[in-house]
Amino acid sequence: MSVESSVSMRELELESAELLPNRETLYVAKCYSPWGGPTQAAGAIGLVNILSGDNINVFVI
Amino acid sequence: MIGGGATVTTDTLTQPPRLAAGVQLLGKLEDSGFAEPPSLLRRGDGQVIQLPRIMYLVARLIDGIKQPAEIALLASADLGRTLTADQVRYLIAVKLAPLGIVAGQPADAAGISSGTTGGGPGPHRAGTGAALAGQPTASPLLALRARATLLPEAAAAAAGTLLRPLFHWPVIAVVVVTTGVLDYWVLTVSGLSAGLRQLLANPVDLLLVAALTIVSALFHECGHAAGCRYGGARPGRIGIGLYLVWPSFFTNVTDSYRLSRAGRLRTDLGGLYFNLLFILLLAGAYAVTSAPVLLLVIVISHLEMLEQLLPFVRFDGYFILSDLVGVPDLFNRVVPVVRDTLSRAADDGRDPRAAGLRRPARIVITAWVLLVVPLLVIALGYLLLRLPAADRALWHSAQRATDLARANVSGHRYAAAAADALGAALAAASVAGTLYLLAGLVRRALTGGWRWPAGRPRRRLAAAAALAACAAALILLWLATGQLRNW
Repeated sequence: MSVESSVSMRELELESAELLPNRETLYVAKCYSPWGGPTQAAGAIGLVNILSGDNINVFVI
Repeated sequence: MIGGGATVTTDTLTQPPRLAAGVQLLGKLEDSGFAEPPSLLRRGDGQVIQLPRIMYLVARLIDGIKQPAEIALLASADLGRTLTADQVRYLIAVKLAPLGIVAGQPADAAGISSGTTGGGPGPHRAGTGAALAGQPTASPLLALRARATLLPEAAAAAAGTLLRPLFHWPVIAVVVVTTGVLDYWVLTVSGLSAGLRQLLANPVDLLLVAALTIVSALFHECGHAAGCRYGGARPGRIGIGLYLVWPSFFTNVTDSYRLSRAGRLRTDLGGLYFNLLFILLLAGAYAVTSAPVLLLVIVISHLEMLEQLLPFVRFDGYFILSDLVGVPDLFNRVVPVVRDTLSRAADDGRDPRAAGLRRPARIVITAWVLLVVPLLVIALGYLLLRLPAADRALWHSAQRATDLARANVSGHRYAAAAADALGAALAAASVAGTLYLLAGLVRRALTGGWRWPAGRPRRRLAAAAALAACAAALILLWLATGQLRNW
């Protein structure tokens, strides 16, 4: 066995695990205004869809 | 006494350590963006944990037979450096046992002094962290909530196996080229005006569009499952849940963590590839029926695909970026990368989640962080500022659609009534989604405010006061802008 150096305690203290989230692929069912057309172009992250004004008509997924 | 302030009594681990029930060692994270590639391990409850080299090495040698001294000897040979038996005990008691990896070895059973557990960074929890029955589990930011199963794991795996041959290269080439030709024909020769006219003339056709969009979404998820299966991993269930404020289909492809980069990317792109297949099926249906509304669905499918490529939330583009740079869970890097960029800590004081990245991965992730943080802050900020007005509009829309549905039922126009009922349900679901999102934000703010100044009552008081002030200011703004009226 060829041992070069010792592992320091500080090194072990810095050893850090990460809990990985489940990999869940998503496909969001969005809402479209029947007169305004799909709004996802403006709704880059899906939130803007519901923020596009006071006259929202939800119609189609 | 072991260096670094850790006090470990060597007579406490009397039994040879053994792994907790169901723990599986998955090996190295392939094609990773880390300077020293980490390894992966799956707990019995399915939680995947990324471990650095020495921790994984020790975990790999734990078998219920070897004593810490023997583990230390073998690990030293593997490392090419000396690891002592006491250091192995430390790793088991302080690092591995709290993660639920080692059976019957709680931290205090190893004689660790209470101050030692806080000596190092310890396990990072994705998001704000959550613990179930004493075992930490990931609670990621902007994740899917309120899941329900549509296709259980066995059925999803069977579907993946059945559809797996579609990932052979000649099939992929034919699908991509044919879709390109079809798109050219739709956009330049056929056009969409006939489809739009049909939709406006007969709004009930919206039901057909909605039904096809739902089928397309499920087919998209089957594509992820098939891509995952083609690479040799086992897909989990396919289901529906709530993402931010929207209903969302999902496939659990957690097992693809153990695939190579190509296998992971195939899994990520499998959904979009199946969108192309679905588009070709729609084209076939159009060839038979000549129903122009089908061409409209083809275009909508393309728009959906483009949206899926956005890397800012957990759409396919997010996972594609994550796999290209070889770093899982990009959102868990946001705070460390920002902190690491702003601070000038010495090497051993840097957060390993940022410091351990290779240069190319670090550059890409930093650029992503610089884009995603302002975008999410603006989007969430705007959502909060406009929440009552948006919900009021959605609520009025739901009421209007419900009235129309009633009228159509009275007039025996049942298809139109169904379309209106669908609209009402979606609007109501969106209201529920925004409230759910708001509740989640409040919960995170409260738990974050409670944890941040741990052990410092004055800071905790200041955090509580700041949160209360923000909430009061928001409510005042809603009142001043009339958003709480006319419900």
